[in-house]
Amino acid sequence: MFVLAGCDKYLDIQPKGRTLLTTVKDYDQWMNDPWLGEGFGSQIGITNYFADHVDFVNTPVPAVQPGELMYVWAPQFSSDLTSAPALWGEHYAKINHFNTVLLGIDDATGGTAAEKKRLRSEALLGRALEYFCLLNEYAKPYDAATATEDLAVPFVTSNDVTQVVPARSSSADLFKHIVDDLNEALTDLPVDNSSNRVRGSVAGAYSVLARVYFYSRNYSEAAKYAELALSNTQAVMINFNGTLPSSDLVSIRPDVIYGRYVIGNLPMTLDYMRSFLPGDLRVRRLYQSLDNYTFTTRGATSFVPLRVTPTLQYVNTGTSVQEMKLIIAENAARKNELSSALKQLDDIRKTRIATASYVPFQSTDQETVLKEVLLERYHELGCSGLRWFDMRRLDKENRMEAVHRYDATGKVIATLEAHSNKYTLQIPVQVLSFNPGMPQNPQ
Amino acid sequence: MYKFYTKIIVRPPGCIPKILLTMKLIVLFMTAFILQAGADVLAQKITLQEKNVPLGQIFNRISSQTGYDFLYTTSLLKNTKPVTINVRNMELREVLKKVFTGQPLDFIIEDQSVVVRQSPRSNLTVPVIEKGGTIDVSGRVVDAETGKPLYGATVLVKGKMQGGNTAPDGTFLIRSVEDNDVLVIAFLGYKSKEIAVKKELGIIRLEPNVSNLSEVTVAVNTGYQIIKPEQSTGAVSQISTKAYESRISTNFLDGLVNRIPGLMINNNVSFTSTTPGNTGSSSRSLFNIRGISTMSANQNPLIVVDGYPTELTLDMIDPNDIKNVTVLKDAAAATVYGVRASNGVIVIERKQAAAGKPLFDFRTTVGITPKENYKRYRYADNASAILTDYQKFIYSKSVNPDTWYLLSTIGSAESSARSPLYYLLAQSAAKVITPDQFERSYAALQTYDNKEEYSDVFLRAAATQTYNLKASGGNENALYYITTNYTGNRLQGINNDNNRWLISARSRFKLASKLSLELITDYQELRYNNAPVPGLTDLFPYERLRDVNGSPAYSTALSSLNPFYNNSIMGRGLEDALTYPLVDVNEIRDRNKTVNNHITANFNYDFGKGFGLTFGGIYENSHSDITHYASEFSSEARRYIDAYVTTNPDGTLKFNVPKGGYLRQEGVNFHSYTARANLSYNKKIGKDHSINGILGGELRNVVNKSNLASYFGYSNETLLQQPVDYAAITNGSLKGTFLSTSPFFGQYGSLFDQEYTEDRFLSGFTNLLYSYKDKYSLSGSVRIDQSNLFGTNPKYKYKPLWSVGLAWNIEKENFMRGLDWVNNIKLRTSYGFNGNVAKLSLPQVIAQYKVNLFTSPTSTALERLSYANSSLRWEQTKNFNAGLSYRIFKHINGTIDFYTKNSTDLLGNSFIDPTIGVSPSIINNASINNKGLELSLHADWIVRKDFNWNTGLIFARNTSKVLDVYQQGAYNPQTLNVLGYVKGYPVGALFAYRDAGLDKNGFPQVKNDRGTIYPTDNSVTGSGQDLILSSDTSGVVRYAGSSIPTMNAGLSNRIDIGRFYIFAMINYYGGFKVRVPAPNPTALRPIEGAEDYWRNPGDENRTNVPSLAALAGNAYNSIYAYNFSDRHIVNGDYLTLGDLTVSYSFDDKRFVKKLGFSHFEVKLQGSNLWTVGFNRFNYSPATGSFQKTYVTPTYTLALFTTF
Repeated sequence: MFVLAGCDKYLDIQPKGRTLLTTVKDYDQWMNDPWLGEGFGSQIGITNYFADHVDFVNTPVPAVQPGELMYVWAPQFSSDLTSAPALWGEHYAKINHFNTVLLGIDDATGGTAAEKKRLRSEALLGRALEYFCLLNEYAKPYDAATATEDLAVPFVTSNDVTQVVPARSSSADLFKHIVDDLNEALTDLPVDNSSNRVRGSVAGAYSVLARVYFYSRNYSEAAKYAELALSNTQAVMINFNGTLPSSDLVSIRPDVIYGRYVIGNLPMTLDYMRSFLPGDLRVRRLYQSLDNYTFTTRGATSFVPLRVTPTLQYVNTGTSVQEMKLIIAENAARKNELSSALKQLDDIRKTRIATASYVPFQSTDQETVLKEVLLERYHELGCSGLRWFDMRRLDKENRMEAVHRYDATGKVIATLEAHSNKYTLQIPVQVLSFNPGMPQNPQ
Repeated sequence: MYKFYTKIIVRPPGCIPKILLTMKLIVLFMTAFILQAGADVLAQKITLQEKNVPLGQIFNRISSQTGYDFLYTTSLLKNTKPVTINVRNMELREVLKKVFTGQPLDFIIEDQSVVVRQSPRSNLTVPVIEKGGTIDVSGRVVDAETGKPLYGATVLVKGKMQGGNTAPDGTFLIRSVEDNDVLVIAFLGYKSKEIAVKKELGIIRLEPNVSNLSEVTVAVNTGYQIIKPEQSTGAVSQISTKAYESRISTNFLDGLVNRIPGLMINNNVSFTSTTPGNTGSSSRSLFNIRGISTMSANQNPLIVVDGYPTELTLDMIDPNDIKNVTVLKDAAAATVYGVRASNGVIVIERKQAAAGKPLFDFRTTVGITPKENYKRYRYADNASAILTDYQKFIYSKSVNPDTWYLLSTIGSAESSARSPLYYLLAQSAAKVITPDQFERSYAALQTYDNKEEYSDVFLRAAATQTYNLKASGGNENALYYITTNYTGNRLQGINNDNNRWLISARSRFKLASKLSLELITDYQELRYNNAPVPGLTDLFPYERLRDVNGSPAYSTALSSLNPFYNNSIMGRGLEDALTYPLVDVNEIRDRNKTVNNHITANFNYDFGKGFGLTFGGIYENSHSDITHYASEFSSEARRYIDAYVTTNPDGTLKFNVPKGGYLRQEGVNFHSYTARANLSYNKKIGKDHSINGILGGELRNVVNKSNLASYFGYSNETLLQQPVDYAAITNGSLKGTFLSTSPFFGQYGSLFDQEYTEDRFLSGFTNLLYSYKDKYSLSGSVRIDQSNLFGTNPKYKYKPLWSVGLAWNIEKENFMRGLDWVNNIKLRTSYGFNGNVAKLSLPQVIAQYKVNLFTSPTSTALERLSYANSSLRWEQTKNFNAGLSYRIFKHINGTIDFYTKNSTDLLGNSFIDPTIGVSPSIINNASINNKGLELSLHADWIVRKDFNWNTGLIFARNTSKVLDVYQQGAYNPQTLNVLGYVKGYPVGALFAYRDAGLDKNGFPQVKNDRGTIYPTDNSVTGSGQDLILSSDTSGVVRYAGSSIPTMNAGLSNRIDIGRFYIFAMINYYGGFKVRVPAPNPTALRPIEGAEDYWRNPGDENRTNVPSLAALAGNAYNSIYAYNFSDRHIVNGDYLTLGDLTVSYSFDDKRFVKKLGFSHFEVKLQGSNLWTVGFNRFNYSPATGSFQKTYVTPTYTLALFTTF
C-alpha cells in the first residue's frame, strides 16, 4: 500500500486524441461532428427509394439487397441482425449524440451561460429534426383525429447504453415533444448561421417547425412559421439563370436555412422527367441523360448532379428558402389566397426556368393552382428525401394513385396501393429483437 | 568378512568406471532416479537352463530376458558359488530366490532393477561391524522430504573397511567405531552425507538428488517466486523440456496443445464474439484457460516470459528455448498478477546456461504441407450449373432490350459488375446474340468448374524451415547463453511467406558475494509478405482465371465494373479497371517488418538470514513498418485512378489521382517498461516452520504510437510520387466523371493518421506462504492495481484482489506410514478473486478528435468513441479450486482438480438496441459460471536400459452457464447464436429450429416440441408466423448444445528403444455440437446436395432443400428456418492423430564422435495425420471446414545436435 500512496501524479496523464466532454468547447466540437450534418437516409437519401418517381429498371426479382427491398416496399430491408437498421438506427444514434449535450452541457466548464444555452438549444433543434423523421417514417400519416391513438416511436431522452427503452409514444405525444423542444430552442439560438448552416439558428428552428406542422397537415401554422423562418434568415434562393455556387459544401450553400447533406444518385421514371417544362434548367443541371434528354429509354436518366454540376452534388435534406416558399404557397392555395400562392411560385420558377422562355404561371382556379404548387414541390424537393413524406400526406388526402414497380420487361413486380399500410414502415427486426414486446405496425 | 568392500556403490559414476562391470555409466545415471520409485514387481517370466555357471553370467541372462538391470559391485561376487538352475516361465522373484539360495547375498527389486547386496546376517536387523573402536553408533536414515525410511542405504566409516546397510525401517547399528571417525551415508538418488560419529545419531535425513528427480518435483515458478512443489497451494501445471521437445515444434503454442489440463488451444473451433471498435461479430479460435469467463475482447491468458509479462506477439517465443512452461490456473497461483490474470497465466521459463565448457547446439527442421486437394471437398460436382440456374431465375426478369446498351454507356447506373449470366441475358434481350448462341454460352458456363485451375495457379505446397544455433557456458561467476533462430514459412498461397530472426543472449553475473545480476537481451525481427490470393469461394465457379492464350483473365466476381463499361472508359483513355486476380497477386503486396528489442535486468541481493531483494525491470520496444503497395498494373491502383478522372472543358481528361502505383505506409511503435522491486523472505525457522514470502511494487508504462501516410502516382522503381488534392478526394468535392464510386470519400483517416496512447499502471503485491513441517501449507496473496485508464473509477481504485490457499501433504501423516506405494499425496484448495477493468468505457461519453472537412474552412470536431455507461463496475471472478496431487508407485504421478469460477459484472462488447445507439457497446451486466474437472497423469510404465515407455494423459472438462446477461433478443436461432451469451445456457450455446421438412410449395416447415407443424412461407414481420418463429414459448426453437468443446483430452505416448524413440499424440475434443452448412443452390459455390432443390410439387417427399423462391431475397423466415434447422446440427466430437514423431540418436556412432558431436539426433514427424468425426458426415472440425473432408498433414524432418 505504501508504494501506491502519493502515486496519483504518475497516473495522472492527459490522453492524446481523445477526451471526456468537460468543457463548453468540447461540447461545441461535439456538435461539430460532421456525421451530424449527414441527411436522413445517408449517404444517398434512401427514403427516395420508396418514392414514386424512381425506376430501378434492373432490379432482380425477387429483390435481394437492402436498397432493392426498399424499392419494392418490402416489409424489412435486412434480416442481418448484427447490422444497424436503416433509418431507425441512424436517427437514434444521432438522438443519443444530442441527448449527450442536453444531459451534460449544464455541468460543462469554461464557457459562458449564453454559450451553454446556445448549445443546448442547438441540440434540441437537432433532436427534433430526427424525431420528425421518425414520426414520418414509422407512424401512420399524421391525423390529428387519431394521433393520440396512433403509435409513433419511443421518445428517448437518456444517452446511457443501459437505459430501459421506453415504449412507443403516441403520435400526438411525440408531436408535442418535437414542437415543445423547438419552441424551447428558439429562445437561445443564434440569429446567424451563415458560416456553417448545418448548425442551428433561429430561422432554422422556425423552418423545422414549419416542416413539422406542414406534415401534420396544419398548413396555416406551417405557413406562419415558414414566414418567420424567411424573415429571420440570411439565406437566399440560388438562381439557375445566374451563377451557381462555387463550393459544393451545404454548410455554406446560399439557399440553406438548416442544412443536412446527402449525395444525389437516383434513376428517374420517364413520366417524371417528362413532367418538366422544356425550359426548366434543373433538368440539364441536375439530371444526366444517356438518351440525350429525349426520355425514351428507361434507366437512361438519373438524378446525378455530380455528373452535370459537381458543386450541386450534395442534396440538402434540411430546410431551405424554397421549401419555406412552397409551404407558404401551398397554404395560400389551400386557403384560396391564389395571388399569394402564385407570387411564391413565381419567386421559385423564375430562378429555375430559362429567362428566355419563362412565362409566369397564371390561373384563377384553386385546384389548378394547388396542383401547380404540388408539381413545383415535386420538382424542387423531389430528390431531397421529402417526396416519400409528401406521398404519405397526399395519400391521406386521396391524392395518390397506386404506384407500380416494373421489372425490365415492363411487368409489374410490386404495387403500392392507395392507403396501403406500406405507407408506414415496419419496425425493423433488429429493433424487435431487443424489444420483443414492441407492437409492430400493421402490414 | 566385509573387507571386500572397496568402494561405495553410489558415487558420481565417472569416478569409478572400473568397478561397474556390466553396466554402462549412463544406465546407472538413468536408474539413479528410478531407484527411488516404488517397489512393484512386474510379472516377468523367465526360462533358464544353466549348469555351474558363475553368478555374474546368470545375472546377464536374466537381464537380457527381462530388461532388469542388476546393480552390484564385482567384489561382491567374490565368494559366490556357481549356479545350477532349470526353470521354465517362472516369475522373476521366484527365479531370483532360487539363484540367491545359498549365496552370501541378498537382493531387492527396485522398480526395474535388481539391487544385489550383502545378505543381512542371520536375523539381526542391524548389520554389525566388529573393529577395535569404542563406540557403537546407531541411527535411522530417512528421506529428508517425505520422512520415509530408506532401506538398503550404505553406511560406511570413512577411510575404513567398515560399515553396512540399513534395515527396512532405515535403522543401522555399527559397532566399535572410533570417536574421531566419520560416517558416509549414501543411497541411490540421494545426496550422500558425512557425519561425525556419536553414539546416538538419531534421524539422518538424506536430501534427494534434485538433478535426477523426475519432472513432477520441479519447483513451481510463478514468475515472481519459486515455490517448493509440496508447499504450493495453487492449481499449477507444468510441462518440462523433455516432454515439450518430444515433438518438433516450430511454433510455441503448437507444443502445448493438449499437454496441460485446463489449457484449451484449438485453432479449428472458433467462438464468435465482438471486438472493440468493430461492428458485426468476429470469431477467434480457442485459446483459453479454464473456459471463457470474460466477455471482453482479450480472452487470452497472460504470457509471462522470464518473470515479466510480455506485450509482444507469441511468434517471438522460440520453441527451442523452452525450459519449462507453467500454467497458473486458480486464484492462489495467479492473483499475484492482478487484473490481467483473469484469464489465467502462462509462465515461460527459457533455458539457462550451466557452468562448464562451452556447449554448442544446432538444430534445423524442414516441414512440408501438401496443397489442398479440392477433389476431396464436398462441393457439388455441378456447382456451376446450379449457380447459373439460380442466377437465371433471379435475373431473367431484370433485363430488357435497353439493358445491353446501358451496360456499356458511360454514365449509366448499370456500370457495376453483375454476373456473366446477366450479361448473356442482356445480350439475348437486345438480340445481340441469337437464342442458339445464348444456349451455347450458357452451356459453356454450366460445364466449366475452375477449382482445378484455381489450385494450379494460386496454390503450392507450404513449407517451413527453421535453424537454431545456441552457445552456452561460463563459470560460477559469469554464465552465458546465446541463441539465434531463423524460421522461414512459405505459405500455401503463392507469393505469401513470412520469416523471423530471433537472437537472445542471457547471462548471469555474480557481481559480489551477495549480489548477482541476470541480464537478458533479445532482438527479434519478423517479416510478413502477403499478396492477395482470392478465396476459391469468392469466385464464380464457372469463371476462368486465364484466357485462351494463358494470359490472366479478369474475374467478374471480383471486379467492380462490368467489362463492357470498362471497354467504354478505356476507349475514352482511362485505365483498365477490371480485376485480374493473376495480375494482382504479383502486383499488390502487403509487407510488415517488425523489429523488437527486449531487455531484462534483474539484480538479486542476498541479505542473508533468508532475506533477499530483487529489483529490476524489463524494457520492450517494437517497431513495425507496414506497407501496402499496389503497382500501376494492379486493379486496385487503376480503380483509384479511374474513380477520380474528370473531363477538362476542352474534352481532354484530367487525372486527379495521377497514373502510377499506390503506396500506403504505416509505422507502429510500441514501447513499454516494467520496473519491479520486491523483498523476499525464504527461510526455515526451526525444524518445523518455513516461510516463503514476497512483498513488492511494480510500475508499468505502455506507449503505443502509430502513423499512416498514403501516396499516389508512386513507383517502387523511381521512388517518385505525385501530389494529390487530398481534401478534395476525401470531402467529396472532387469526384470522377466516369465511375460512380469515390473510394476515398470520407476516408481521410484511412490515408493519413496519427495515434498515440499511453497507459500507466502502479501495483503493489504480496504473496506469503507458510508451511508447517512441510505437511501443511497456507498461502495468501493480495494485489492492488491502479492505472490511468479511463475505466478506473476512484470508487474502485483501491479495491484489492486477494486469494488464500491451503495444502496438506497427507503422506507425511503417521497414519500413512504403512502405505509404501504412496510417495506423495497432497490435497490443495484455494479461494480468491481475479478482476478486470474496461479500458474504454465510463459513465460518461468518451470522444475522439476528428477533422470536419464539411465546413469552410475545415474545423476540429469530436466524435463518439464510446457511449455513456452508468452501470460500469469492476469485473470480478471468484475462483474456487480443490485439487489432489499424487505420486504413487514412484512412477505414476498426476493431479486431479475441480474448480468453479463465478464471474460477475462482466464487461462485454455487446450488441445494443438500435434505439439507443450504434452497436457494439461495452456493457457489464453479465454473470458467467464455469465449472470444471481436470485430470493429468504421467506414467513411466517401463524404464529400462534400452526400453522406456511413458505416457502423458490429460483430460479436462469445462461447463459454463450464463447466469445473467444484459442483452435480450428475439428467441430464434439466428439471434441467439449471434448474441453468444444467452441466459441459462452455456457460453456459445447453439440453438436450432425443429425441422419438419418442406411444405407442398417447397418452403421449409418447423415444428414445436409437441409436433405441431408451422409453415415459414410468410416473411412479414409481426405476422403470426413471425411471432411463432421468434417466441420462447412456441417450442419451435430448441437448444442444441454447446458450440465450444466441453471436453478435451490428450494422450501422448513416448517409447524409447535404445537410441530410437517414437512419440505419438492423440487429441480428443468432445461434448459439443457443430452446425454444418445447409446445401444451398444460391451459394456462390454450392455444396453437395444443393442441386437437389425443390422444383415441382411432390419434390418435398424426396428432398429437404427448399425451392429457389424460398431461398431468395426477402424470404427470410424460410431462409432462417432452413439454414438454422436442427437437421444441420451434428455432434462435433472428434479425434485426431496430432503428431507421430520418430527419432534416432547417433550419439554412440563413431563418425559422429569423430565429427565432434556429443549429441546427434534425427527426428521425423507427421502432424495432423488423421482425424475422425463422430457424426453421420464423419465431419471433423479439425479439417478446417465442412467442405473439406480430410486433414492436410505436415511432414517435418529435424536434426538436433550438440557439440
